[in-house]
Amino acid sequence: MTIGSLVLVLYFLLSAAMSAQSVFRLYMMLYAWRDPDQLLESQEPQSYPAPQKSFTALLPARHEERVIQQTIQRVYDSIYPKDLLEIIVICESGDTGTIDKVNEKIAQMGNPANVRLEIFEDRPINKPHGLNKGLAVAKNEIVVVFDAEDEPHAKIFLAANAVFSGSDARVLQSGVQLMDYDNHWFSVLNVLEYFFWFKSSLHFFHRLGFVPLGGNTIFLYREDLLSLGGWDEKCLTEDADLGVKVCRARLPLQIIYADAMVTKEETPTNTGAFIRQRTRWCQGFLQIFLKGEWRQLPSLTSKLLALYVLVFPLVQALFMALLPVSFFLATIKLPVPLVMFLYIPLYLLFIQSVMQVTGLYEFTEAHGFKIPFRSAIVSLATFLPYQWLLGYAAGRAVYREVKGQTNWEKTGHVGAHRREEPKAVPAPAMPMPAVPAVPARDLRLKPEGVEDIRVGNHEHLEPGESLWR
Amino acid sequence: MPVGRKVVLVPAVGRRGTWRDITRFGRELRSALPLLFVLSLALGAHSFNMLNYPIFDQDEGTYISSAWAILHLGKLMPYEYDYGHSPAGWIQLAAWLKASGGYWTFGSPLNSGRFFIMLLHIGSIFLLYKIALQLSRRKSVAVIAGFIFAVSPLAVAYQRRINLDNMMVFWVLLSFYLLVNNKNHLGRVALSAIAFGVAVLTKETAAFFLPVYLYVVWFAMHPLQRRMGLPLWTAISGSVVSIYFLYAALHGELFPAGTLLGGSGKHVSLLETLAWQTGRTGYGSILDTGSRFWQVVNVSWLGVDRLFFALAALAIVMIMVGTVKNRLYLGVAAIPVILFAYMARGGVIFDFYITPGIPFIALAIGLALGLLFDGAGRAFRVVPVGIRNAGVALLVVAAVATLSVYYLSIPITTEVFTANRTAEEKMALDWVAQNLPANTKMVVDNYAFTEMREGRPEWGGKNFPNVQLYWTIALDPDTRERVGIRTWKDIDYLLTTSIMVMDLKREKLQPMLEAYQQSEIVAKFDEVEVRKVDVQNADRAVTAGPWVR
Repeated sequence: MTIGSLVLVLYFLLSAAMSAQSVFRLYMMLYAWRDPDQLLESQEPQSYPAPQKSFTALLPARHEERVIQQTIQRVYDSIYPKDLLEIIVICESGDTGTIDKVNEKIAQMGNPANVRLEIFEDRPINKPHGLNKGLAVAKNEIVVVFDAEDEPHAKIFLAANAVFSGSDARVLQSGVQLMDYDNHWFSVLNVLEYFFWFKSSLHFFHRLGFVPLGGNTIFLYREDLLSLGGWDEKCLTEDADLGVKVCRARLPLQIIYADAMVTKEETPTNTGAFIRQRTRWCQGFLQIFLKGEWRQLPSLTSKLLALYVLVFPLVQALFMALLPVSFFLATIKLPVPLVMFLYIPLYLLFIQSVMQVTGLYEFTEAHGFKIPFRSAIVSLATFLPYQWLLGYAAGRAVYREVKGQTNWEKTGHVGAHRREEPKAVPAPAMPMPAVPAVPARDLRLKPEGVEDIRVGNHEHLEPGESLWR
Repeated sequence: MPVGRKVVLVPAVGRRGTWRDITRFGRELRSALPLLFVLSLALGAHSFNMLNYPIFDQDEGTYISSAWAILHLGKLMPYEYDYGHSPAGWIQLAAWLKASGGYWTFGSPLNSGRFFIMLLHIGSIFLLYKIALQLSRRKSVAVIAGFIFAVSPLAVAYQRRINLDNMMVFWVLLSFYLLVNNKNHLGRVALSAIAFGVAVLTKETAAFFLPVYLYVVWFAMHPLQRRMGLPLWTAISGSVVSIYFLYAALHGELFPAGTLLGGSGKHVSLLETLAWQTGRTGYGSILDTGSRFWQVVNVSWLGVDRLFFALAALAIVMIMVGTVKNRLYLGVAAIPVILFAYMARGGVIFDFYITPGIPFIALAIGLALGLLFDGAGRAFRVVPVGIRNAGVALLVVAAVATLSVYYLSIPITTEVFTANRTAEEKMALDWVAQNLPANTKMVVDNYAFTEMREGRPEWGGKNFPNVQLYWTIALDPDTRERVGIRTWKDIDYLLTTSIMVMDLKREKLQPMLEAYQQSEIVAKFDEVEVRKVDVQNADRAVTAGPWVR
């Protein structure tokens, strides 16, 4: 067998794997639409049962002075009895800017009993650590996480109350949705990733027994969280890690995605930020994979799914890198049936991209945006570049993991960077190894003239990045 | 004691369970009876005398020889593939020949093909029954639709042929069935899209039904799924169809030679062929009552079964009105309408082009009667049940009697079940095998090609590798060069049918026409003739003048 034919056989097998993966992915994307009853269920309820459950909202914030006040107000204004709602904002003691803003806001609100600021001084300075600090002092029955730039729906607690008092659910993940589909070249596909992920794929994962949870709008019983040991402070994606723990403990989980009730977020500010965010997610997933807890998931299916989800970005990267090879192979003399077989993954990608455009129309209609003709074109034109970008981020994640650039404790210089940060620029949500300078994510709150300032270190996080896709 | 009671009770429950199973089976069997009735009727009407009638025609020979080429030569046709039709139909045939154990399982490759078409037809009947049931919720409608599709004179006249339209019907119905019976499953919609793609690849005319299918996709789906389902269906069926174009592109045969994208070398081209086919007009406009369209309509269709078309027209109008009850009715009505619009465009038309319309017309008639039943049910609500049932029974008896008389008055319906038109074709082949040497250079009618190339088992291993198809020899100089038939003198024998002779004369297909004129009959089996080309005579002719060559 010549080297040439060996390569061809390998590529043939790879093509088969790519096709299988594409079909699987298409299935995940469309899973929610397979059953109209379920679609109806996930719409906003017409009425809600009387409030019974009490909630503690954890708002970890770091360098969020521009948005934290509105976020506190928004959560506080939720339609829910104040005596059943507790809000804890968590800040690191060095972040005086945010601390001042929070204190100012609380005073301005007349020091309500159910809004508090929790300050911590110890390390590491990251989101899971902050969350654990908040958890330790939370008083109410159910704990929920919001990011500082989030825009949760006013009735989200009513909806959560309905789920928890009407079922045996112990964990609730509600939809999170990026909104600014025409901000950057990659925005539209980024928005659609969230759309299909939260509206559809999570339901599919749920059925198979493993759900990588999102970073916010996630509700859990406090006692469950404590017995699970809270959040993993060493993991770059503590949210997905919590998903493994929850599924391993077989806690009944419910997922809701009502277009009207999603928690709204914004896409990363630029391509660099996007890559860094994605690198962190991939690396976090890699960490969870290497940690091996997923092997204790209840069933073989859930284990296989976890394996797929955790290493998926890397597999996808490989596939996308090889895509141009198909085109190349078409130009050399090969048996036509073979070449046609090698084209199957391209066909499936085409169908995927058509479904993405369809999703875009569903999304914009659900939120009352204008008909996204331009964005539809953009989504088709950027389909492959976007995949390659994800592939690049995945490669970068592997590189960093191999190099041992795995967490901010070891890198050491993180704190130094944080201290050197330019004060004038608002920074992103926790967790925060370094200082990204990122403008406010909320469209409503976006300050004028704020630009993204790169700091030499890539260790920082981006808005909305507590979620993986 | 209580323990003892329990012991007694358990088998009692078991007995009751068994009895329940039996009665349930009985109920299910009873509810399946109408379907079984239609299926067995269809099986009988299709298969009885199926291998004897009709005559194995050119198209049947062509598709079987193409299937043979796939299995035997690894090519899509015995000669160069010319994109005349997309190849999915004879790929299915080849798969069937392979799966059913070769060319001789049913006596001959053509017989095998007829059996394949029979299976597809039974499948089509099943699908039509289910579609009718789904759309009307009435078994009577399903039975009527299935009945008409199974035994109507036009149906039995065309449905046995191994042609692409008969295969396409199955895929079109499968796609339709998966849509109207999608059970709110996107997966079924995706499968429907694949089936539609295969239908188009089986016979391109299915593509004209696309607007109807898009309409049906939309309205057959749950409102919450439509917006996802329609693009999914379109993307998948488009992908399947595009495989054909990909195939051509990979061969460098998509664009015409001599164009920017087509290159300069001489080659066949898919787009060129498509353009030629769609532009194939000149058969007379619909306004011209002497046009080919009206000839076919008057002679082949109305001349055979006027009642069918009268009922069709009435039913189509009725169910268009009935669309207010069920939106999908419009889809059913639109397919025959589109088909007729396509045929009336003035292009080439053959009598069997009606084939894909027949099941939908049958369905339309069934649905229209269903609407009548609904109306009658309301109108006679006050009449006591006994009298109503008696009235229905009387009507059924009267209808069956009238239809039977009408049916038997149509010549073709008896011919279909009694005539033997293929015996001579077989006898001619056997004569050739016994009397001519294996290396004979012969140009034959398409029906004979595969059997002669392959050699019937009873010929003891004898086959005829130098047998050629006359159309290709006439039209393709490269093939003539390759097989060594440069002039009519290179042909030893001709095996002709009346159709072939007509083609030779009308289209002046050389060098066969010349050979035909210089030949003499050595054996004749009704319309099939074996002719020896008389080179001796011809040599004399050549000496008479150089123009003869």
